[in-house]
Amino acid sequence: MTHQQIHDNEIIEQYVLQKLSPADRQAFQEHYFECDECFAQANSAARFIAGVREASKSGVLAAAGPGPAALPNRWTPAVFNPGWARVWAMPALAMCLMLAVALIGLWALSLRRQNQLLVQQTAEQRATSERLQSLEAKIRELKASDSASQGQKESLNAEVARLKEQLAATEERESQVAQLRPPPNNLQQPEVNVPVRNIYPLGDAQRSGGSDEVNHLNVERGARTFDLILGDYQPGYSSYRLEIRDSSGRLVTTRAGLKPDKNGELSVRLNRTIIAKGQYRMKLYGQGKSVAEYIIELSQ
Amino acid sequence: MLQSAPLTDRDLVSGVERGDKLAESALYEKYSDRLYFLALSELHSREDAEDVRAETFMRVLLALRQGKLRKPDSLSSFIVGIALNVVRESRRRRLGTESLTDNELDVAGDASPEDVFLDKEVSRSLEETVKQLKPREREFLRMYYYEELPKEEIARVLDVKEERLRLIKSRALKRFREIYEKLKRE
Repeated sequence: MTHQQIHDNEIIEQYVLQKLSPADRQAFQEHYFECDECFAQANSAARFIAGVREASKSGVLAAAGPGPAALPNRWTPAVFNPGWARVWAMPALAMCLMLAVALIGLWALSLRRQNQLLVQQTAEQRATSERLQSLEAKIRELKASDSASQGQKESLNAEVARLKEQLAATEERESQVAQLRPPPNNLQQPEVNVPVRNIYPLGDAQRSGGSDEVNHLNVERGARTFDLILGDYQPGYSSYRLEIRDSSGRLVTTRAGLKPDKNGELSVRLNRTIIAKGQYRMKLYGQGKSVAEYIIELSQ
Repeated sequence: MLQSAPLTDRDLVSGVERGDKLAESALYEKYSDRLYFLALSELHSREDAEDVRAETFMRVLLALRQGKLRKPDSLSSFIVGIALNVVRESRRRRLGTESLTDNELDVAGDASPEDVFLDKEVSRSLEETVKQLKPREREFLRMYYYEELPKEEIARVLDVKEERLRLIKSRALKRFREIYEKLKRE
């Protein structure tokens, strides 16, 4: 095992995360017994990863204050100077407030204008649609009676084509406006209580109180992640891999290196951004062998 | 002589074979921390790691005194081999003990694997490191090391390139290491 291989394949991290095969693990141990640099790096990586996990568990990592990009230190004056504040800060503050009020006013006006446009477009669209329907009815009536002249029919067909174009243009404008609308606010909130649910494998779901094989789950709307405790997972393997597919069979995500806790329970934490509302099939593998299968359905 | 000059493994082996106490001390000095780290990584228990370190040194010294190491240049591999045997024996012993009572099982499994690497300097260093990260970089560390999501999935969720994630990770780790070493020196 060379330095280059260790660096390129992120061997140190894999060693700390216990992802190396026993042979590679021993090869790396023999390497760091001779190499001061790799030993120091492995030591730091183990502490760093332990620290990150601890901070994540306790919420410190998510709840830490804004980063340097959001609040650079140079923006904070070292000493508060009242004279400076009188001369510069107050007028600057007043200017900022005026600017903010002006911007809010402009934004409100633009919203109002946009709303008016939408109302106007909807009315136009409705009128065009009604006119189109009445003309099409008239054409059908004339065709049935066969009393209209060729000139009348052509004029009506031209009018119908013009109205269809107008309707299409209105719809196009509406879709453009819809694209310009701001996306919903999805700012992340600090995670406090992670919901935990028990699920049972196929052939065993009745134990959960359900009458079918599907584990019906209702996870609170605010939760960003949730934990699933995998019931009857067939113990005996040192670690497990979980494969999650959606109802169309598409692979959504996998989790490798799952290990039972001290009580023998096997659980997995899933992110709501990845596992949204719907039905999923989860296959659990122990050393490549399928050991259990679960179906979950998230109702929200 | 033995205290001032850096000794090669060959020097250490021949010294121990001759019964030189200074060579034994130098051997312990050179491999002690590595042995403890290896045992800690394998067993996740500080007490067991101490036991493994002591037991391994005893066996290594005995073997060297009896001239059992034929190639002195492979001393480090020799020590790792003995250490892993001692680790296996420790695991077997632990499993036997754990099967006795529920109380002992609880005590043995009290600490989570990561806890053995935590101390107040680690917490402080990480706190300082995290302060210098952007929210998205923090989110990445949490998703990668805590939720153990695959990198490609994180890259998709955070809308960044995978190469960038590797950079964030190595930068955060480098910063952490600098702070940690500074705190340890103080």
